[in-house]
Amino acid sequence: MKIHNRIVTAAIATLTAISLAGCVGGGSANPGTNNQASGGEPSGTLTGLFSSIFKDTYEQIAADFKKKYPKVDVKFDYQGGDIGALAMTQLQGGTAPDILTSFPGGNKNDAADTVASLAASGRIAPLEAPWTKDVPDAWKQAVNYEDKTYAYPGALQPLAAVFNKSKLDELGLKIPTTLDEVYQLCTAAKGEGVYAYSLGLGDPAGPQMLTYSQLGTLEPDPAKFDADMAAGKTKYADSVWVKQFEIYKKMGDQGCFGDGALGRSRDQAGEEVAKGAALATVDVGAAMAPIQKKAPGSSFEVAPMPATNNAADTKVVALPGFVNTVNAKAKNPTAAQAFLAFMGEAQPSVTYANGFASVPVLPNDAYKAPKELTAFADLIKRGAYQPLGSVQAEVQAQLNQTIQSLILGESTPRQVAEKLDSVYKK
Amino acid sequence: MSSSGVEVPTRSGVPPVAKELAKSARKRSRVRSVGRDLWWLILPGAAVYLYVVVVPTVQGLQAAFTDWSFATVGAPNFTGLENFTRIFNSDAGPAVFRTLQLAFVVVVGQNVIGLALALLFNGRVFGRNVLRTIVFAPMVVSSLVVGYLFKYIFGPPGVGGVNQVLAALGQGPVDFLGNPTTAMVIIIVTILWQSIGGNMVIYLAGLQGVPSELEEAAALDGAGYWKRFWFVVRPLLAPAITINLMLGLIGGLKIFDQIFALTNGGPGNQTQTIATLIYAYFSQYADYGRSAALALLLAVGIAILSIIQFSVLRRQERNS
Repeated sequence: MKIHNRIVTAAIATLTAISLAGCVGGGSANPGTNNQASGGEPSGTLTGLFSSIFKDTYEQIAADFKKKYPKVDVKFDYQGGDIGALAMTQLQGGTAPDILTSFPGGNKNDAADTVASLAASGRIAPLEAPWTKDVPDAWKQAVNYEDKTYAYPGALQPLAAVFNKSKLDELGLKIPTTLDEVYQLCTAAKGEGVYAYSLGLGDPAGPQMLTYSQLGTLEPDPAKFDADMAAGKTKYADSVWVKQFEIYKKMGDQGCFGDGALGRSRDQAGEEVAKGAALATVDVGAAMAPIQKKAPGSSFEVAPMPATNNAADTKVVALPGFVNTVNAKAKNPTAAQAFLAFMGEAQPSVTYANGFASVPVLPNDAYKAPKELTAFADLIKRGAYQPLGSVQAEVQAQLNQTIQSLILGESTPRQVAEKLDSVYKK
Repeated sequence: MSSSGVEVPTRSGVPPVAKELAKSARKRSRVRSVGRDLWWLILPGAAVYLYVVVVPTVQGLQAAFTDWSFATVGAPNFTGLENFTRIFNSDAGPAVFRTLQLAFVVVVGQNVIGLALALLFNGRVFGRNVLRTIVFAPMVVSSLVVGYLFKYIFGPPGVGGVNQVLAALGQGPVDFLGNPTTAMVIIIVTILWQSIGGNMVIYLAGLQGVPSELEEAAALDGAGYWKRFWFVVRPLLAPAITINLMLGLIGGLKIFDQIFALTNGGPGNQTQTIATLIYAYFSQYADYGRSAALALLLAVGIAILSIIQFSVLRRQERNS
């Protein structure tokens, strides 16, 4: 009986030790455990995590990559919803794939799926691609950290108004070029039984779109503003953000957003524009593809959102929506590096840009903008655009929630800005 | 003690009745200990439980007192009660109040409607088995799917099903999910639609355990339907009421899926509850320490309220 008890005790101790060791092992961070060292001919399995919206684009690039590197077996995973949160959870849990979907720029102190945060915490690897030296200066802060490039910037998309040009022409209305014309369009649209701007204000990331699109014009130097915020020299409540919230409030009061805007998602906002119930939505360029798909017979046009009454002031906000990074603990770093190097080549860059309804960040002679992006591509070429500053994750979440309070009439523009200040991490 | 009440001593000094009692006690103990030597069979299950429940729970407890976040490089720092202080200084106050309100309304709604349906379908109703199945059917659907379904039913004008019906009837649009009050009502309706089937089934099981003779005797004594229900059926339903109230309270305090799908805590944080805040801290802000601290507070709160409710209900069960 004693022997039996000892066996049982030993079994419990062993199982406990295995369980605890498993837990500890799962949380340890050891970048040196790659199955395949970086360098050499790419082979083996390459994994990646991307948004399901762009599945066709990534599959096309993967198929072209496989032609160049037939020894690599590409197995990409596509997910809907909050892809950034999923990537962070996988990185935290040690189950992230070789190539990740991340967001440009960011703040190294912020716990977010951004290049700066991921690079500062050693979760992504610097890239070895030849195109890294071609990244234009304006977009270096989006993909670089401490002078090394960590992300493939992909393509620039506008954050602007997407107009249903067919509907506008049908009603004899014009795309506004000043703030007063924006308000006039709201009134004119109401008179025609439609509404001007269909915003996805019920979406977790919907309300911020109008704010960011107008900050491009209102904020002359976003990088300086970020630096002043970090140094405690300024506050949201003392900035042009308050001015934008005042415009937001006025547009809401004038019925620019139609009935039920606070219960509307971004998808639903796009549907409203596609069927002509609304004249425009304000969103990133990637939102245009599903709108066009729903209304193949209509034409659409991207235009910057005016924020002043001087048309010459208006700048379009341009941003690389998603960027692509390599997991620092990638199981196949060689293939991952080769894939990101391949993405920066002329033809894959065009495939990527077309799939994202965007303009390539890297200079690319093979790219020809489609009709709806011609004006935007021209603005990019002339440098008449504005990048976005970095917004911390908690500030962004509060921005979206407090704009809803603003539209409900429960917060003033200044209170919205003060709420952002209260969650900002220096 | 013998049946006659007289003790007859033996040579060993132990009365024979006591001997019998001791023998039967030994027998009982032997009966109780059947399989005692096989207790190690639980080891695989215990190891899994230890790995997937106990260890993460302890880790979560530890995390609640650290600055662990996605940005943490290396081991997180011990920060004492700082996460709890931040929680009490933030939006958690209104969320706590809203969580309690929601749980109360949901528990009352589930039990009143669930019991009413059980009483209805326990009687002779045409097609009652089909009706019972229809009421229970939503229970088998994922809560998240139900949430997204209702998001389209109560969507904005031009998109939502109810708004399209209102438009067809010549009525004005209603911003169901964009107005904090109606959004909360839609959340409650969604939860009740999905969950009352479960409550109904538990009450039906309880009702089928009520002897029909008792009800018939009460009817013969002149008791009407209401009196029969209150004085005969209700006391016998006490265990079912206890289970339903307990499960309802625990479930009501941690409702997440339907709120996440319908409003994501909006508009303007007005449908934010503790569970959605835990998600926001964890997933949106990647602030794992603060999320663990709020989860710990929710767990303690649920435990305290459940213990109070359980002891009150058990007392009432005994009294009835």
